[in-house]
Amino acid sequence: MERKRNPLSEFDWGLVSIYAVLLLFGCFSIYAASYREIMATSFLEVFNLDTSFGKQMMWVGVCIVMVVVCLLLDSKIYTTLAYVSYGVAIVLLIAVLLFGKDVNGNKSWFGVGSFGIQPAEFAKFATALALSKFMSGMNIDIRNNTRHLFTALAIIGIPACLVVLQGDLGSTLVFCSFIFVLFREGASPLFLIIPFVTMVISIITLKYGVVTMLVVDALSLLGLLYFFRKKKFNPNLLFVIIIHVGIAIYALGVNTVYMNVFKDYQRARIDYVLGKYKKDKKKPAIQEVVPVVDKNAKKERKFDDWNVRQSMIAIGSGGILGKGFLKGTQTRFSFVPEQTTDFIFCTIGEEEGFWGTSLILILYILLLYRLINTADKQRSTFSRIYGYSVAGILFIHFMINIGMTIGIVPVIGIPLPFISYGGSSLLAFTLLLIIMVKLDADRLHVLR
Amino acid sequence: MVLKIIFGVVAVIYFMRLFYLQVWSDQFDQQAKDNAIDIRRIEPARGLIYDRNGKLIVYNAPVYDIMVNPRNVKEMDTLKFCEILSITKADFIKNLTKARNYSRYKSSVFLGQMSIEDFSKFQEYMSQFPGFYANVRTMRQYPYNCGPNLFGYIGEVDKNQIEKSNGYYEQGDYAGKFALELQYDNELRGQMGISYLLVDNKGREQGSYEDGSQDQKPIAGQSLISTIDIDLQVYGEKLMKNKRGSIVAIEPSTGEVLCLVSSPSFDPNLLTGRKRGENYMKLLNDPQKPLINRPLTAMYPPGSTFKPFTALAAMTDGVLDENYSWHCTGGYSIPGKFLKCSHGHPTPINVMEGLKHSCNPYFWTMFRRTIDDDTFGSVEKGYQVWWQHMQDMGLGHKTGIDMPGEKGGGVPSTTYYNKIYGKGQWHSTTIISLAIGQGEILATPLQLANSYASIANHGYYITPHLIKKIGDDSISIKSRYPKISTKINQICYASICEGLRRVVESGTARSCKIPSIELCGKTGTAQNSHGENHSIFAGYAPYNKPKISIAVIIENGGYGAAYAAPIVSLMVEKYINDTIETSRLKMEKKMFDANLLNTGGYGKKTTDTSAVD
Repeated sequence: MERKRNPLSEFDWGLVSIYAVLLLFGCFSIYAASYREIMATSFLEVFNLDTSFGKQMMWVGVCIVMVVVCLLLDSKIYTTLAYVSYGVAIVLLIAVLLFGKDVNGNKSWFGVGSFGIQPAEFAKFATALALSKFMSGMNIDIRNNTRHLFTALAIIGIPACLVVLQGDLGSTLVFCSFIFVLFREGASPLFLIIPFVTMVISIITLKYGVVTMLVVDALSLLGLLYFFRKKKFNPNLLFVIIIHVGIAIYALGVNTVYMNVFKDYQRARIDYVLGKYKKDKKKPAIQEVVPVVDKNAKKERKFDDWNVRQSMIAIGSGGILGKGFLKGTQTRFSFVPEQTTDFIFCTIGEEEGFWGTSLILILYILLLYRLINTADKQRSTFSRIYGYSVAGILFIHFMINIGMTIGIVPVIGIPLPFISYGGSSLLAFTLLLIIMVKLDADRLHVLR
Repeated sequence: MVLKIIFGVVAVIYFMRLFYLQVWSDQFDQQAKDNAIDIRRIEPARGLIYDRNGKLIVYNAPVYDIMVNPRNVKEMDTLKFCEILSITKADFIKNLTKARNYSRYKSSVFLGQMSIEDFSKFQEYMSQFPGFYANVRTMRQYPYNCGPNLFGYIGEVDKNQIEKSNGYYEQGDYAGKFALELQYDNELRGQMGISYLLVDNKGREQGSYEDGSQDQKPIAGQSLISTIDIDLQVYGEKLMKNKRGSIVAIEPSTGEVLCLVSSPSFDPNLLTGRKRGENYMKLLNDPQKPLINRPLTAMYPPGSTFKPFTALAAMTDGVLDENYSWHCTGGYSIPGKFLKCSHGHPTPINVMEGLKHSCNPYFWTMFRRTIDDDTFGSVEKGYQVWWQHMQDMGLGHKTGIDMPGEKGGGVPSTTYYNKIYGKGQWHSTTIISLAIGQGEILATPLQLANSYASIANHGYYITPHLIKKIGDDSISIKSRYPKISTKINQICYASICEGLRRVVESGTARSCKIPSIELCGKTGTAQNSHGENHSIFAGYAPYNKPKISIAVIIENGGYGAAYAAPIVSLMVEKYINDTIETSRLKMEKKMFDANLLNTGGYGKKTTDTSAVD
């Protein structure tokens, strides 16, 4: 039997409100961060598409329309189109490698007029759909069926690899968020433990040197051998030895990659976060413009820790209450690069202060917790898995983006969901979230 | 649940980090300000100086400093830049390096003191050279082209001045360096203004910080009213042309210095503007040493001009009264020596006639009687009393004039003689040349003029000074300069003054008589080891109610009556009557034209034991 549906009451307005508040924060922040650009135009031209703010306003409009459309459509369409959209995303990712335009050394954009479209943003969304579709299939069991597990990993891995080829390290990391989903859906806890352990080993190796890591490794092995000394042979012993050898090889590998493969600026970014970054005394630690008598000399030099330092100065100088809307000097006078996009959090930190940044943290945590709760509630496997995917993707963005602005995570260029400037990311995040709202609204009626 | 914990832990870590950055740590606020605020100092107009009659004698003309903020300098057409400023590429690199060594973020002077003509050329293109801008500051102008020793000059502050200024001065600032500009620097400089400008990441100006509410307007320096009569100063320098020496004139009733001529002189405007360094080196290496402030720092044996003080000491101690008469035998015997009196004159004589004829034996006797007097018990005690009289009359110590670098002259102490001859081993005859202003005794022209002011005042002087009003304040300055008594019995002065009157009336300086003014004074001729004697005259005028006390020393000028006395008479006539009588124009011309620069070296310290006159 079918109950009478009141679509408005079934939507999770909590999620929608958090989304709206974040979006609003985003609009104000972009207005502040591009204030100089806006100042150069006359009053009514604020919404002109020539300014970042004007463009973003247009995208916000598009989003609102999209939200309405998505909520009205039957949720079946998302399950139906899951593989199709995934296919389209893969094609776009390949196409962008061939026909995309170069921006900052990355080939991840399609240029359309004065707009750019970033397929990677949509690929995350499509992958979430496809993964949910696959894992909600009949008899799919990733815990016990290795083939199923590898298929799931492939669904994640293919777009991830294509994104790596674009040179977009940040978006690649986002695909790691699907590990949370696999874990939640019954894959071994090793999926969480192994990345965590390797991260710890990497940090120790890079911060204290590969020799320290090897010594710690060797001491640990000797200790365990002492523990096992009375037993003759034990498979556990073999396992312990293999693990330690593995750690040693990994540590050496990390060190080699770090020293030989990473570029100077990447090393500097990592060093900065590890507290190892040393200023070259001869070079001043500030954005230095070298006046030249000789025209062939280097024109301008930005130092490697410039971004993070300026970002931390912006946030740190905000204090408790902030400097006030449009009053941040770091923001207004362009001391923080990429301030409308990757470093938008600085604007909030500087102008709204600690209460502003705390509010953003709280909003995100509310959003993430509510998404997990919502996912847990779902009767349909598809909806549940999709819910976890959304939470995972948003979390990785949140963690990396804010982490880098406060100097905890190395600088990796990915946007802060709903707040950063950029049409592609805004549309993709909106779709991602609003489809979850729609799926949730339909959870009582549809069983998938 | 695990996911929630992971998310929660990350959020808590971030929360704590934000708390640290935004609430706990306070370094970032300053860093943000360092980034976005450029502090510019605005130099106030330096105070003006007027002479005693309200004539403007030091003022400011605008000049332009090209400033550079190394942080904002960008790639530019260096060749054009150098061409416009007419500097070489080497200069460009040198100046920029200097600015960067000073500070990479703060502005400093790139090229100082451009005239308005040179600057206007640069101004046109200034926008093409980011990081460079102009600061108007003022250059001192001395419209009378005289008195460099009086006004001093301003120049770039040195390390010492920066330290002493308690943070007021920074490298590249200009401050008074000498004489009045240095002495009254605190009053003249005013209060530096500060403006806080917002700049963007490229150092471009973005308006004022907090709408300028933190800015401080510069406060112009205070004007000074000097005691100098600029016309007299100019006239004095004209008379002293091609001569080495000094003229110091003081108004006895107030201690106000009317002129302070040091010769050879030069145009003080040479030490302003861009050529300052070059000119300074030239002056420094000039063998005539024009940079020496002779009136305050050159010490000479006063010679016979000292005789009134010998007489006053004797009279106040009761050794001599005005009618005491002494028989000059044309010479004087001391053990092992016969000192001749160089002047033929009637005898016997009293103190007035002694001064008039400048009779050495008369003053030798008086000096000996004074310090050998039985009441003192010993020569040492007697000399100590005499020494104290000299101190009281303003000799042997600095006058305390409001100008740096003054020297104190010298009247040797008993300790000095004990050291040289041994205690009890010296007698009045040993030091007899002191009586006539020779020997170890030394005085600056300023001291001489000041001590003659005390004679003119019959027993007191007022510390000579050059500034009588700062801004609107003349009262507190007056209280700085009280009457200082010579502690000489006032009755003694009458006969001394009469004697000094007779010197000009009919004595050694009779050729310099001014028909309408009763000039009093004493000639002096100081022997020295640097050639020709120094010609000295010290005196005051008029006899009744003196208006001017004056000392003139012409190095290697010969007899006191040869140059010093005529110059004094001309100065006095000029000051009191404002014109020179027709009958004396010949003398004036002779003085203008005389050239004594090649008559000997600079006699800074002479210790010759005998003098004539």
